Amino acid sequence: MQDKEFDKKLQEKIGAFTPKVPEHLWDNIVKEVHGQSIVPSKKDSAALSWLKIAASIAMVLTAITLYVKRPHEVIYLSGNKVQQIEQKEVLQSQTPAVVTAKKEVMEWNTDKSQIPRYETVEQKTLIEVATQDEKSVPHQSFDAEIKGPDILLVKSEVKLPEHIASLPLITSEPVEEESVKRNKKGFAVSDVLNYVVASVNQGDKKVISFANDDEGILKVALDLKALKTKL
Amino acid sequence: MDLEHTYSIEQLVDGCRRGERKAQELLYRKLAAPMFNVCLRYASSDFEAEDMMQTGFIKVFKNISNFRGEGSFEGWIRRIMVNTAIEIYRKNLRMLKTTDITEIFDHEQQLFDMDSLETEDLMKLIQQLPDGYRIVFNMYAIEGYSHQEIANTLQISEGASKSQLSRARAWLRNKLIITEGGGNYGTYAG
Repeated sequence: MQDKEFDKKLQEKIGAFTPKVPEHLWDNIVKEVHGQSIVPSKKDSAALSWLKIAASIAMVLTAITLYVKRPHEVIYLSGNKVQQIEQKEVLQSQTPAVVTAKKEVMEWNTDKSQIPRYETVEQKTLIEVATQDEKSVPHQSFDAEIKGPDILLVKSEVKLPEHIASLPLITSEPVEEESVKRNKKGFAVSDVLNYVVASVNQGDKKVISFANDDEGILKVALDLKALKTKL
Repeated sequence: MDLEHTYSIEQLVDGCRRGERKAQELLYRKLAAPMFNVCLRYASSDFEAEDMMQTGFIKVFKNISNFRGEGSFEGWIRRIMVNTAIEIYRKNLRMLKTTDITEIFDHEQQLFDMDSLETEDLMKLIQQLPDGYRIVFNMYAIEGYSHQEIANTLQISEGASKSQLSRARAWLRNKLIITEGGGNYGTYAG
């Protein structure tokens, strides 16, 4: 009887005891039960998918940001710097010189209609001429020729003696320039060909002749009547 | 909102059979404290009790499909915990220690008032029992096993089981008197 009462007392006392269970036990049990391939719940999988999407967006944004804000590769060449500095100095000194020359020309030539080409030249500085697009300018050769007066105008800053400066400015007529152009075109391909076929042509009747148009296209003219006569 | 009260044991067991992790967690939270109580009584230390608890619940979740619902689920899981404690005891090759009869004080005529004893102190005393004494005492006095069942489980004779139980009681009574300062709380019934 004493033993049973003793056991009963112990049983009641122990049965009412509620111990604290360590939290890490559940984590260990889950690892053992599910192993490495833990099956996530629906909430866990949804949160995981959102995390993946957010991570992907973050990666894309980071890549774009890095691409846009990537450091620009700059190559410093001492030669370019010197050249730019020299060019600036030249331009700074030439710009007022042109203006000065323009004033002088205006004083010397009150009749603007007589010297239209000078006005065109005066409005262009060396910068504008240098930066002009060759394709946008229809008459490239003409622009190349008018660079001459620019230089001359700059040189006109030099004070001439009064007896020379008082002389009227002799303007060159445009016709004379055309004649100069024609003289320059004496060595055109058409002239060479005409010289070659000159032996075939007899007198004024040219059997075959060559000519260059303004665009430089070679044209061939064949006189069939003269050719028939010759044959 | 306490989700543990929204599901019955049967629903949680069904969820565990389907391998649902949430059901397993809820079932564990529901039965962890009483099962840890069992483990503390069978173990020689808190660390060993945690090992028993972990091993026992792993067995529960892996073999829950074997539970047919013929008895209470709590009884089924309690038996798994006890069996786990016995397996650990055998695994550690602990030999049943016999205590010389001369070391046991005879307090058969005393009835102890254990109401004044803290439960945690009592649990510590049980954990300090020699391994063989502790298992037999728990199985017989707390769990309600018969000496025949204990003998079959521990593969010992019924006489050895009775002897171990008697010595366990004597050991505990002696410890209780010493703990309380020579039997100040005890009353002699005889």
